[in-house]
Amino acid sequence: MIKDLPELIEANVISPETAERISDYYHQKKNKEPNRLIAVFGIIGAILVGMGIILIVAHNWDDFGRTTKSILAFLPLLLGQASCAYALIKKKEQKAWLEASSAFLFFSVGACIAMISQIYHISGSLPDFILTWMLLTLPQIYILNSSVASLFYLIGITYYAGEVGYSYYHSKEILWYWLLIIGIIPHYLKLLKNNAQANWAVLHSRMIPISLIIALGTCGYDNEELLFISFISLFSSFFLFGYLPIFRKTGKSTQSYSSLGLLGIIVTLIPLTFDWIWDNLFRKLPPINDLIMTPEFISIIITTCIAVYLLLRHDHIPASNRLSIIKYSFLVFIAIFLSASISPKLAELLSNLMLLLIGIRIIRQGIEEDHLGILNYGLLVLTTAILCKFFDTNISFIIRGLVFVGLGIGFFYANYMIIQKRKRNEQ
Amino acid sequence: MNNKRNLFLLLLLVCLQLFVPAKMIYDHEAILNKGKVFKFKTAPVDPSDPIRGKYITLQFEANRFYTTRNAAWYSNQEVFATLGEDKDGFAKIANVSTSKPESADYIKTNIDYYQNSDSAFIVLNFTFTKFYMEESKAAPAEKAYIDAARDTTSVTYAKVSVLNGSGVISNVFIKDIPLVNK
Repeated sequence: MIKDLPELIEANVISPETAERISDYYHQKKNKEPNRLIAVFGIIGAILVGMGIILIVAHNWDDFGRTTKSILAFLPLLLGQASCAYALIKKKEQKAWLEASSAFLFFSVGACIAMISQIYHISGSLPDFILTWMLLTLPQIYILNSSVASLFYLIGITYYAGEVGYSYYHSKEILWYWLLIIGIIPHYLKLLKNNAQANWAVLHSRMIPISLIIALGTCGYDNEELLFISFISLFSSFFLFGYLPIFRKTGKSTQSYSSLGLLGIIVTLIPLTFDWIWDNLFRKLPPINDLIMTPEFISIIITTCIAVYLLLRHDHIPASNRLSIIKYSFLVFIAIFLSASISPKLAELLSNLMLLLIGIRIIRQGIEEDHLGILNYGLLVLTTAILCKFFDTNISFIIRGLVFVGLGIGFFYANYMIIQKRKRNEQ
Repeated sequence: MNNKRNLFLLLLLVCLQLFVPAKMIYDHEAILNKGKVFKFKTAPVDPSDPIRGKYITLQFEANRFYTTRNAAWYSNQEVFATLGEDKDGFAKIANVSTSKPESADYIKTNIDYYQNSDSAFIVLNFTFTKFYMEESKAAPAEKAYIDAARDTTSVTYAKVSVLNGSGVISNVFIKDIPLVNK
């Protein structure tokens, strides 16, 4: 455009003043455009330097005295803080500056308290250390509006949940994780509202569910079997959440939440198709009065309430979508679970049926959408459901062999049909 | 306006981020400077921490306190251990109580477990069990201890400053040779 300006002036299409204004406009626009590559490398650079400092600190330089070490501990911290202040005052428009400074500050806080732990031989556990670190960096997410800090915070609290929940038996400290994860929600919602398809929002949409899955597993103590309900409710919530209007325009986040939800429901159902899980289940469980205050029961209440809320508030999955039935999974599953109190065999049968039906629904969706990937996904679920049942019972080798052959033919036939249909449509 | 508010909040965060480590330094310096020094007989083992680096874990010999059978002790119970010294000048637990001792040096800690048998005793957890070292020195330190342990005359001990219920290790000695020269 700018190159053509002299020609346009010469031909008297525009005046020299207009040409100047056009030229100014494009120059300004160019300056405003964020240079993504610089941003990415700036942030990666700051992360690497920050992590490097942590490792250098971990060497533990015992040639230095206590005073020298203490001063050295504060150096990166002060540098990080100064850099954040500078970014906030002078480089407010440049997201890369803010994010890079924030990443550096995040690690320098960790390095500082790690070094002081070394100097004074503070014996606090690793989770305690991480908890202090995360609490000190949480405000950064909001003050600097920093998604890098938010992602590392998420990694930090998930690691904390893993350490406390899976290594320390019956530790109440896991409650901290649930408080800490709430701390990230306003930032995440803001990212979603701005643009659910932007890279930062998508990264959060991938990591938050993973963090929640890891943490929910830590709720299992003496009545772990109850967590099957919590997980199905959690995955149903993911499935429903992915269809919220906020994601409607975008492909990535919907797929990430709803696919993860669906996959989660299927994977959780697979072990439940075996009889040994259901046998004696209700005999092992304590009476309801003793159950109410257990972490497993509380997790069921919370995840199910969230799923019910999402189900009631948002009836927005297109009716044509065959998978919309999946949204009721958690209610169906609770009924199945309760049916085990009458007959474990019945619960086992119903779980098998549920997995089969989900498989069939996915296959139908694949056929209707003319999508080979979805079709084969459904076939895989169906095959898994059949195979699980298969190894669970004593069926003769001949019948097992025939079923395998039948399933193989089924795969070929379904794919062949879709390809034929496509050919017909093309003609 | 928004930027001013953020700058103010950043200033508060900076203060908080500086205050927490500074308070850690202040508290531990106070214990090292004003606390009474005890020598705890110990055995070092060599684990590692992914972020804070190499350290040796100290297993103290004076962690048992003989008590009566069927007493009301339980695991993880918070207790106060009053410290004394044996005839060789090493620390020993003189008494354990659930309330804070008026005078005398004590450490605030918790019970690892209570052995409720004929010779009943409680085993205490110590809050100072990690001794951070330069990464190349932690493993040789453990080896030096194993070698020294064969020699029955040699003693490994940690010098711990104790003040107001908290303890800070200042150094660990194997055969009276300090592990860290400071």
